[in-house]
Amino acid sequence: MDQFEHKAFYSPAEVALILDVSHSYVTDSIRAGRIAAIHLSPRVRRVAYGTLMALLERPLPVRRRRMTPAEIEAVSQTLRDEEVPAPVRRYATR
Amino acid sequence: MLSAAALQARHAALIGVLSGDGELDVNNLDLSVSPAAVDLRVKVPGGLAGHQVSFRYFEKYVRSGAGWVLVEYVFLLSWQNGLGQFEYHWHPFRWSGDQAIFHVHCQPSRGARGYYRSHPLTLEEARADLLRRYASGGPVDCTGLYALDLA
Repeated sequence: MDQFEHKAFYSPAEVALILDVSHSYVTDSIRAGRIAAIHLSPRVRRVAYGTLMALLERPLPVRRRRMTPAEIEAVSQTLRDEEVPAPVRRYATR
Repeated sequence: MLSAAALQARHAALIGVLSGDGELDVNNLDLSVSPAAVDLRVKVPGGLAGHQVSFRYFEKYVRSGAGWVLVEYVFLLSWQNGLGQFEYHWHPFRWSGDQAIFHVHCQPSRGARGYYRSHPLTLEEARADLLRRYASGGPVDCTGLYALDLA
């Protein structure tokens, strides 16, 4: 059982604690692009769960399937939500 | 338009990037038939369902001559605990004929789902935006969006 909380994002300080490395090592690695991080703002960076697990050498599984063209069309229709109403025209058209 | 090789390379690169975000479900890209779909679903951990949020990135391509053309997309962030849903869409409607419409579906934690104007986005841009929305802690905020109106 892991001794850390499983969640979507981790601060550099949390990553340092989990990996048992220094905070500066993590921030330097993020700055150098060795650790992928999401920039929430110019000063706030977070490491995603999957990235952390890869750093722990426990990459998350990637499940694969194959959709037929008919399944692709079905997914497209499901995601579309055709209840979107037609817009009301406010201005006369020529 | 993308060549088959470029689309395959893009798909592989997206899998690499998104696998860092959480558990990934991938539709294997099949370019022997048209249409083809990039369909990538990401679950991040936490919550009663084993995950608290899912992201989905769906792009539909059709073959055109020697290449593949993107004809629609849906990129979405969905909370499992009633905090709402935010979706970027580009596709035609029954009322729009062949014209694909950029729009947003926004479902706040309280209140009705609304439909709003949007603009062209790449999957990568949508990912960055949806991750920022999620990391802000929710609930989904629909303020500041403009109603869908093509007049």
